[in-house]
Amino acid sequence: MQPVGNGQAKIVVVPCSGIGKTYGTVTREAAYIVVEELAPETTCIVPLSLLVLGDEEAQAAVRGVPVVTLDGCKLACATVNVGEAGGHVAREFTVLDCYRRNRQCKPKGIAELNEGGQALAQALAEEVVQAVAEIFETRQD
Amino acid sequence: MTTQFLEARVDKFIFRVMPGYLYSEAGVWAALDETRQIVRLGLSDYRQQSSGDVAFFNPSAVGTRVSVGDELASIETVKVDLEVPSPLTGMIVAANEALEDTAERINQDPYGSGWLVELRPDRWPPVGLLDSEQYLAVMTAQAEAES
Repeated sequence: MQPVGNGQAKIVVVPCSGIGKTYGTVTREAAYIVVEELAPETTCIVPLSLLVLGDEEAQAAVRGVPVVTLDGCKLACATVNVGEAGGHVAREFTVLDCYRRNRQCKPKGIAELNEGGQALAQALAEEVVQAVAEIFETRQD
Repeated sequence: MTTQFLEARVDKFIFRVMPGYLYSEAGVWAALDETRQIVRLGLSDYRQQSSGDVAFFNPSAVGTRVSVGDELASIETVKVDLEVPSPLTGMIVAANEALEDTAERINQDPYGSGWLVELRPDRWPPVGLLDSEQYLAVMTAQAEAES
């Protein structure tokens, strides 16, 4: 795992892999905003699909570092599969909870989110970045 | 005391029906509070499960008169925007204010704390509603048709 400036490994973000679901798309959009725009120096993505398939590199990537999961529904596949891979979920987010906090951001669309969905992804990403900052303040790995 | 629900299993899903309540085919239950002569209304377990996790609950205003089929409330879920049709004619006298902050109760406890509105009916018992056994059969057929 690539270290950040202070020698600590990047925090792993695992979004939902649900295809064909608006809320799953919101998680992936949010994850990209986090790792590509808001916190590229301190975060990286591990695809949930690789964890589900038992990919050893992906499993290794979620072990020993804090993981933030973004789930699209209450099945919480991201959170469950990180746990099953031996990873430590430091914070878990669900789109529905974020939507309840941002009612003006009504998500629609699947392959391409509407304006509300993009705004919701941005809001979720900002919550994740806040969580990442808090994790960095307290982590000891 | 544990409630003994009627149950139907369709595929991997189990749907519960509260005995003693009356139901519309749209999956709205009605239960009379005999002391207050008020009817409490909510979504059946099948209707809440098939509609998905609830994000927001928007009841019609207290004081609104509704006829059978009129909108009691709208519910926004992760799957659908659902208009809840009234199974009765009467006046809405209360809405479940707790759902404003905890709409998930509709999913978690549809026959209890997830109730939607209370209504003073023009007549009771109403005409055309199903008892729990009848609704169990109708709901099971609906669920099997959708599976």
